[in-house]
Amino acid sequence: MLSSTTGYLILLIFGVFFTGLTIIMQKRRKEKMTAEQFSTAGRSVGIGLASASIIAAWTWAATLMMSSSTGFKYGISGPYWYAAGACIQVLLFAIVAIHLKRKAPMAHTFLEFVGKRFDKKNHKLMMGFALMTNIIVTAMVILGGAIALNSLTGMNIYAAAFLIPLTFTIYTMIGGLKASFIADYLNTVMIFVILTIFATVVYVKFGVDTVYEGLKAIPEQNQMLTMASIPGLFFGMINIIGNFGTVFVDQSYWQRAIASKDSAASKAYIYGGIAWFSIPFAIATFMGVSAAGLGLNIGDPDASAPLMAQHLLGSAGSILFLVMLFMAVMSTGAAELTAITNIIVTDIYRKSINPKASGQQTLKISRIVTLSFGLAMGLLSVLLFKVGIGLSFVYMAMGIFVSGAVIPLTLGLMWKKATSTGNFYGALTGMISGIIVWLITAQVRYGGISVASLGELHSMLFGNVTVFVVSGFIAIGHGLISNQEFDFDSLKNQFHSFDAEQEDTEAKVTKESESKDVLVNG
Amino acid sequence: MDNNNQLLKDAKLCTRWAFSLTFVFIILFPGIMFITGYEYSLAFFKGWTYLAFTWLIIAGLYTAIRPWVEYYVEKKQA
Repeated sequence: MLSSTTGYLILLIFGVFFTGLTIIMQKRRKEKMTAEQFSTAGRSVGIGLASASIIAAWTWAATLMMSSSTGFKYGISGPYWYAAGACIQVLLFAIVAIHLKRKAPMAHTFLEFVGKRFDKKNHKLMMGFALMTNIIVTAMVILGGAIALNSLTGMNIYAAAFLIPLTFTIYTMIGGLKASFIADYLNTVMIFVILTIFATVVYVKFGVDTVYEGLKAIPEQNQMLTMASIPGLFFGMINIIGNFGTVFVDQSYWQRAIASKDSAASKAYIYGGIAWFSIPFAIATFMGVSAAGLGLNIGDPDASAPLMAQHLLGSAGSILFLVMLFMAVMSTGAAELTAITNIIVTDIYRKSINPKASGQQTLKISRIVTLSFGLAMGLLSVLLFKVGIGLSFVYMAMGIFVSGAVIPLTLGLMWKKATSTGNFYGALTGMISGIIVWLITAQVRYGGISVASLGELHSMLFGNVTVFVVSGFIAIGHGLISNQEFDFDSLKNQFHSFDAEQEDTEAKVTKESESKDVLVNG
Repeated sequence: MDNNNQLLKDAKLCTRWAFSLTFVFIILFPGIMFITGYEYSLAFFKGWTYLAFTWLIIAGLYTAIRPWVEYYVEKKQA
């Protein structure tokens, strides 16, 4: 085991490195940072950088830890279901991303679109879903990072949970979305490099035959060497449904579409999705499945990846794993933080509090929100630890809370018959009924409501499926019955750049003062 | 071709790709493997790990190189 000083050093080194890099880049920029630049990165990002950023945003601590855990528990079906079950959402998101580009080319958040497409009620509800998604994801990312730091270095888990968000908050606050893109690129490349090292070591040190023989020796009922594994399939279904919410309702993915060039938006998601598939597929196969095949004595399957890393390369393996995990944590954390900031600034501050805010005021508020939320997320993660809620539980339960918005949101963007009433009640009833079914299943099937019974596969699966069925049924049903048609072309000129608004205001002020001068002099 | 038409064309193309890949990833391949109840032989398991490794390398190279190529092309055009 590494010393806790190593843990603190890793946090310090990465925090200082990325903050320094952002400051240097800011100084080298020829133009001044504006509110529009801060939140959209100038809408000029190409396919390559956008796909790297999508991969980084979708590579959570859970991608590295949980996927390996499924490989360790369910055998070869685990890595496949983790990768395929969480990759298709990114692929399908390409479709909605390009529709947003067409229908609201100057939007800053997907909620801005919802606000114009539907009524205020829908805007508020979707904002609730979006913020909940960002908060859950950020908390989960921090939980994963803190667990790994604690298990590998013995670093105080509460200190880790509080310090991790601090590292990505500072550089995000300085550089905005563009800084997040650059950090995402570096982090993603590093993750690929480290994963390749681990995979190579498994081949060289143990060989595939040894792992296979080990898996063969595990009792047959564990179904380690077949895709026909029932627990694997159940996990796959929960994974598919739950992850729709965390992509479609998460502003950070919309943000990447908004920041991309028109020609890059859809392709970046397809390429990014296919490339992302390889990360959980490889890590879970080489770390999780191999750990089971090699017969490693692992108490908690969630810790299979770090322990396997240690088994492969000793302390060097632990450090490499920590670095990889920390990079995943930083990029997802920064992506979520910019997403939360964008929502609060665009959909609360500029919409309700100060609609006439200048670009500079907006930029200042953006930075304050980024810092405040970063610190608040650290505190929330500490609280979650205190309550005893862990990574696997949050990962599997999140779909029940956030997926209710997926079908209504997608319909709103792509179907002219979608109605405000249908969407509102679809999303809300979907979530409520999902929670009820989740609780009932835990009570009836496992004899009581507790963190353990709620975390069982059946409770999670029934809750997740109910959310989708109910929300889809109400949203589509009401749209068909009402038979109203929305004109998407009417939205095109309703979104404006923050900078353009500022320029308009400045131009107006100049014009007014000129006309006053004319009156006085004339 | 104006921007809207280009976006429409992209939308059609990416819709086809997204649905086809989704079908292959979560229906076709796992469906066949589940229904047949196939248990991996050593050769198949080896192929499976090689696939995971190769995919990782190609995806890593793509991710690392493409932004630099785009940066270079843009700089050349400017």
